[in-house]
Amino acid sequence: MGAVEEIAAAPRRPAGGGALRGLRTTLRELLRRPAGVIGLLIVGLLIVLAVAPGLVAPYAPDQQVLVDRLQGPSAEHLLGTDKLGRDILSRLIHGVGIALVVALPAVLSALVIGILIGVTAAWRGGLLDAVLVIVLDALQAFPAVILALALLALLGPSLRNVIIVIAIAFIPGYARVARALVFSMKGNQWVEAERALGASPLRIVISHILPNILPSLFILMAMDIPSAIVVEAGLSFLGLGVQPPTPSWGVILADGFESVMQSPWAIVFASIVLMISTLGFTLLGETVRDIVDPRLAGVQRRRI
Amino acid sequence: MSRGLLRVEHLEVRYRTAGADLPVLRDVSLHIDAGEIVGVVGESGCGKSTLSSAILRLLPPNGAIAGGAIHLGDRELTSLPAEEMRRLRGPEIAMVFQDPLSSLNPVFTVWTQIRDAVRAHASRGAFDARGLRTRTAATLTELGIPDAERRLDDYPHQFSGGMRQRIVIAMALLLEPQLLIADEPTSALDATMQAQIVSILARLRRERDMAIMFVTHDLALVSHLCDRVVVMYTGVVVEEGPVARVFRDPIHPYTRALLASIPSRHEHVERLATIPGSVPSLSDLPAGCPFADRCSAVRATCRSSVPAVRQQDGRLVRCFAGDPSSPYASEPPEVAVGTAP
Amino acid sequence: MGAYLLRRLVMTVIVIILIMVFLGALVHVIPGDPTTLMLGPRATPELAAEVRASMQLDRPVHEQVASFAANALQGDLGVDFVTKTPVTELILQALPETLTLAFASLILAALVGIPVGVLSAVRPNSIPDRLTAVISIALITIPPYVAGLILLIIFAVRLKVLPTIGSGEISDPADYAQHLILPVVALAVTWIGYIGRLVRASMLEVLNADYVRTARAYGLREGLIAYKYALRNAIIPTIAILGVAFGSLIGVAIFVEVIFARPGLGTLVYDAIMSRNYPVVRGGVLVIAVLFVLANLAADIAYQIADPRIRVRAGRGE
Repeated sequence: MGAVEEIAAAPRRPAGGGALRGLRTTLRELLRRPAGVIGLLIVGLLIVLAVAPGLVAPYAPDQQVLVDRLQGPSAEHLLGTDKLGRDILSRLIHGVGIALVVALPAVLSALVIGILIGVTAAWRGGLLDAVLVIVLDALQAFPAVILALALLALLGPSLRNVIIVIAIAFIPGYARVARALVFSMKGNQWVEAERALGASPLRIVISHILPNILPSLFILMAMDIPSAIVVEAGLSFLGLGVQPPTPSWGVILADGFESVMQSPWAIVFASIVLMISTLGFTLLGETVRDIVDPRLAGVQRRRI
Repeated sequence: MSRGLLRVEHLEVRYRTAGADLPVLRDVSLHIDAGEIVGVVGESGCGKSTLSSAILRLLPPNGAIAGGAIHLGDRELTSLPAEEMRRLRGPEIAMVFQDPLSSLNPVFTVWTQIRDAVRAHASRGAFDARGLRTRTAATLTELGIPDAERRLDDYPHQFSGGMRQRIVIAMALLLEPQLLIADEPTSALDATMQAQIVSILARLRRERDMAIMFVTHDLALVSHLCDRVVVMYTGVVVEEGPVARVFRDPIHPYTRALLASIPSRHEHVERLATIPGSVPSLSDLPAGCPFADRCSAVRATCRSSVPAVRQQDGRLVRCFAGDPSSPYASEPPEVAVGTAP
Repeated sequence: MGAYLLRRLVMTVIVIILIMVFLGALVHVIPGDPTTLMLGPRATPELAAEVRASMQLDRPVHEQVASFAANALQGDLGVDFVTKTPVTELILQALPETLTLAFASLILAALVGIPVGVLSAVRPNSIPDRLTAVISIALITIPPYVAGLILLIIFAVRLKVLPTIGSGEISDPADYAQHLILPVVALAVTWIGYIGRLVRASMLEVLNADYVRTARAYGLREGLIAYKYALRNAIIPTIAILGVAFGSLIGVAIFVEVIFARPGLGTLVYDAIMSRNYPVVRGGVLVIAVLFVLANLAADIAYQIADPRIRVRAGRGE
């Protein structure tokens, strides 16, 4: 009796308006921190470039002018030209969209599938949980790049396959965290009470557990985006990811590597862009984490 | 009255925080003579631990001594160069901390730590490890640790809390300081161990004529062990004097309230007396006496000016009540507050 | 500690077996005909038939997977498609190069990262500390392939002080070492930044610990406190990271091996992917994964040994 009354009196997590309010305060706090401002600016810029590259890029990314190949920075080509005479700046700008079109779906899918696996494992417990944990352990035993290589060797290199492969590499991470979070909530009074009142497991999961674990998981996802970008660029550099002439930054690096003896500019500028993007996402992700849930600072993210 | 060993005069300590400068200690004065045990009591946050740290100049990076002086014998500590200060930590003033588990380094054996502490003060070439080991084992045995010689090579986590505290005390003793500051040495221990530690401290004073500053929130322990007591409240000393007198007949309303809130095992009480109100925060100190809001004898003067320390009835008190020369004497009392006596 | 280690060892063995099962089953789990997956769409029918026979793809799936795992446990990883050489032989030939790379990078990362971390922690928020903080964070964002490419450009192409290609003559240590420098630095860059931050964070935590306060209260010199009393505690989590780093380094070595055209496990796997030589890919990935798992296990064991609270059982007190 007492327990139910306690539950009824306990503050519930506000939905809708509350979440939005939380967003606004987070944003305000974010803007107070230099790391947050820088991260936000960079990510904002990247999103703009991803959505409308044509507006900013001076040339088309595949426009070849072979006469002008391998030029250094100049008035017509701010960052120079690559081995086929294409404007490096334009290719890099179009590369933003590629990077995000791989990284975001990959990490998002990993999140969704990871949550499904993790919540199921923690909720059912027992043998299913034990088996899943060992399987996840085995999956995490592969360095991300190596796992990707094994899969791409069979699937064949393509942008779509890179997304799949990166997602698979990140799934165990989310599954483990989701599982841990659910376990910590399973003994929760609310959950016990709801069960006692006969609520179905699905309902409990959707209305109680998910809202509590999602914010933390989203933050982890934000922090994984830079890793995903780096892995994709690495795989594309090796020729196993996005295929040329699509201007993934990794492809630009590979093209530059081919002609590294003659002109370093493609590599130099692609590297700078890659690192700034990584830095932007990392700063934003870490600052949001520090604001919203500093406990997450200890959670190990996948290294490539 | 011999003004011997330690004299703290009008000490002021401030902590710099993100918001503001917090005046953690204000105009704190006290003295300890050789062979005396002085208790420093007060609630959490009254500044007694800060006082201990300040004496050893071990304040955290955002803390600083902003005024006053600390005399040890004929040396003034606040202006001592860092290296000289380091040399007197241990051999002249030693400190025993509250939590014996975290006070000892978990990755080194007990012997290593004691040896390093002593060796840090040995003059070049004059360090006799074997002799020290024998003396250490003897001291540990004296303090009640069985099988001391062998156990010197154990790690701190292999000892119980009470024994760890004794190891720290042993480390202090081996340096033969004139003054031992015990900062809540028993707060992390259970009652039996508390009693043992207290009896060790009493024995130390008897046998070695050691001066001890015993910082605690436990008034009962103070009444058993100490000669004099210093009562602190939000960074100021409110009453100081011989234990028997202060405890039997406290003058300051805070001291009275503190003593009244100890449950006595001889009386059955309906409800535990508490002091109404709460401790003012250091960033928001009231203009007058810091205890004014919770004081049962508060009057207008109390709220507008801070009382100075006066001599009264054989001790020092910081209170307007009982001072015939202050405006307090002629003012009407405010309406009674809560259940404070 | 003993019980924990035993459990950990058993788990490790199980994970390794699972890795083998996973890799053995991979061809069958991915949608599509195994032979086409492995050889690609342009394989000739004869080659396909040959592969199907030599890999015994007509047997039931679970039998194939079991036999692969059983063989793998005994060191037999099949033969490659092209030259019919045992895969294990090819891997053992290539492995030492990669191990050398990984080891050298690890040592470099530790030798630079740890002192930097300690010095930063001892003077927190000073100008050198803030400077190293910015540099460390920058280093962490540099992926190994970017580091390799930039170093290649600066030192090999532009300045021409270091070689661009190959691993040099093993019989000539100086030459070999010269060829090692750029790849090792490229691999170590990220970890230098990471270890530097980690050591700094651990040291700061430790320097604020009560036992450091005790050491100060007894007049120990600051140098002794930092380099003996504090570091010995702070190094414990770092040791664990070093093990993880080693495993990770073996995985990303492929990038510098490709960039600097060095022989090694990474190049072996890379070439095999390009030439559709699946058994080599599978074998190489397996070995790398197993090494990764073992490196993590070693790190765990080292961590247990380093911390006396775990190594020496408590409870001999009263």
